[in-house]
Amino acid sequence: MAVKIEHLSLKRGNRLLIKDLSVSLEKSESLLLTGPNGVGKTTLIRSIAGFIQPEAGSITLNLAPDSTKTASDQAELIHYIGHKNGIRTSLTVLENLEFWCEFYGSDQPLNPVIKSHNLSSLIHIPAGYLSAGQKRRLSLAKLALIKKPLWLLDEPTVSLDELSAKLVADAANQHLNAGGILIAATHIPLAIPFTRTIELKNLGRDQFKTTEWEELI
Amino acid sequence: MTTTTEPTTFWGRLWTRFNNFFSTIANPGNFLNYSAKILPWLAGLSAIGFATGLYITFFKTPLDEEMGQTVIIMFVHVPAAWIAQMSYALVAASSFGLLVWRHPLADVSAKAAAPLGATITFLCLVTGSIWGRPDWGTYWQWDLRMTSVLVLFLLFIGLITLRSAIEEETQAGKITAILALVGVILLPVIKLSVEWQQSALHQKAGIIRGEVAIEFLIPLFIMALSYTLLFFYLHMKAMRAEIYRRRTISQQRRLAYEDHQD
Amino acid sequence: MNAFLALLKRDIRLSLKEGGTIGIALGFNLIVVTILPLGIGPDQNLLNQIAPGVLWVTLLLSLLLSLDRLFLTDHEEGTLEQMFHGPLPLELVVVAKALAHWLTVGVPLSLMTPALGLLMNLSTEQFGILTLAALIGTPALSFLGAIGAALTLGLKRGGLLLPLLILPFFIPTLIFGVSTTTGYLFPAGNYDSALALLAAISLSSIVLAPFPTAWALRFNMN
Repeated sequence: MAVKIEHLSLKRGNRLLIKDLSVSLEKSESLLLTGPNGVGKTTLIRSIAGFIQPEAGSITLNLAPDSTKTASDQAELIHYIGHKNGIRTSLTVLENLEFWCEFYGSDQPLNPVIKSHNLSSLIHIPAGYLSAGQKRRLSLAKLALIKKPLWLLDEPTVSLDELSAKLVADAANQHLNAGGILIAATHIPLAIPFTRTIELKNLGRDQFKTTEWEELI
Repeated sequence: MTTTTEPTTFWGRLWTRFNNFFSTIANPGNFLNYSAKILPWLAGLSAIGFATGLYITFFKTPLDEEMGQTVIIMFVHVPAAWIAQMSYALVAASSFGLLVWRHPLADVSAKAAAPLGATITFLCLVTGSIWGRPDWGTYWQWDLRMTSVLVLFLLFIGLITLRSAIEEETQAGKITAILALVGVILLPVIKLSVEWQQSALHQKAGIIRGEVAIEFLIPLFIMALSYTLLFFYLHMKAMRAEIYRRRTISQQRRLAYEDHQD
Repeated sequence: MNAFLALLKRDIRLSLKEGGTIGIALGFNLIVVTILPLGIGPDQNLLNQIAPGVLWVTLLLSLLLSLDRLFLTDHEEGTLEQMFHGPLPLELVVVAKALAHWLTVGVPLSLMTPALGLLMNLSTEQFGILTLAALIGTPALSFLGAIGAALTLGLKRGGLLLPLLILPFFIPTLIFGVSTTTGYLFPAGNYDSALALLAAISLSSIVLAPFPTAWALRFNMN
């Protein structure tokens, strides 16, 4: 099981954000992405998640335990928690959780997860009434409900209090101990012993250089 | 970039050659160079073509027994209809090129061809309407050809509007390309269904029936050729303008960024 | 398959719960058919003659009105991104959502046809066949419409652009749908071929339309 990034370049709009990045992670390894806003952390995570095509280079995922799955099937083996929570606001907390269990085919018992994420008193309330922190907790409950080998967390603890942030860290450590891979981007310190840290830097003038229209000059 | 090994089969090698050739002519810098050389030729040949074609049309073509003088409009209308379809084919082929090879010049080509196609389709509708007036008694008839040209026009308008509605340019190109390719599948179906409806309503298929006399065919083909040359002249010119526009935007962005840094 | 059914169930439940979509579609259909005779005058013969065409056109427009919401809320709330990492290929996600749209909007609109037929002085013997034609024809509208909904997903006012992009693609369904009752395309009373053609258009839309739709969704998620 591995994630292998080779000579990756990524573009957002007209600007080059990531240039010639190489890194590879084996099982139980974790990667922390840091750097100022707008430097490409989200873009990098979203490209590993499969939403953004690389401009150059490659991202190779080898996540299946039995290695029979082809590349396109691997999307199923990724947990992606992005800026949006992925919660339907008109459904109750319980209905949201039940739908995810049914959709992903998980038979994990719901109650312990609801309890550990401090959602017990909220289950029959439409998710739209929840605070930002409560929504985030609901979104993160997916990580516990469905087992997947690769976690991609983009600012997972944003709008969470310290206690809930510790919950995320505990879950992540457990995931790593069980042989999972974790890639996270955050500027709030997380109590996770990351095995690797990459500080992304602004490419400066270079971010405009590779556009095919500039080559003409 | 992934390294490619030389394929061993004949077709594999041919495919690599084709791809290499394609990426050479599709490089924006190369395009600016060779299009500058081709453009004067296209302009000159097209001008000569139109001069010859229109001269023959107006002074040498015998008048049609049935249609009389109005037959002259045919030489403007029919080539417009052909070029309208060709320009859609060009938009679709460019869209395919963008989605498969992800080459930006294909997007430039699709973007440049759409307004040209819309214009020539509109010209086709107007001339068709004027031509049909004496025959139909009205300026518009829901005749098979006219209806399908109208649908084609709507599709062009859809492509142009969709592209202009999406802010991010690479995104706009890809999304519009999907619409163009969906149109390729659906246009024949629409045409077929209109045809079935028409065949039940009117027995008469259209204006041109039977064989077209040779003295009509020659000027028709000269006109069609001139139209084609003019279309490609305008298309190439529009592509060049688009390349310069994108280049300017890219420079402006860099300048704004550098100024911000100082 | 479980994932497919879960999604289908959820979308049907949502559209019943959020209500707006069905209500707007049915209400719009009713109001257009109400003001039309007022505009052209209450000539019973004329109304009877144009009824099938009018009912089909208003059906298309009403259905179109609800299409822009098809992926929008899921896209804005990030659920579509989550489904991307689910067990279903995006194409099947599209099928489930378009099918739910047909069941909750296409079917009620079709079943409304007889009531509107009364307003348009449609001959009573045509009620059944026109409703049947609507039921068979509307899946094509939901699935072709899904393409437009996916294409305009990233736009602020995509709903306004949707009719321009999608209505031309509805022409075949419209023509064959109307031809079941007008009898000029096929001999009167012999509407089997028209229904078969409608079914063919619907089936091929169900099979083919999810591919460009999923393609556009992928581009819009980046």
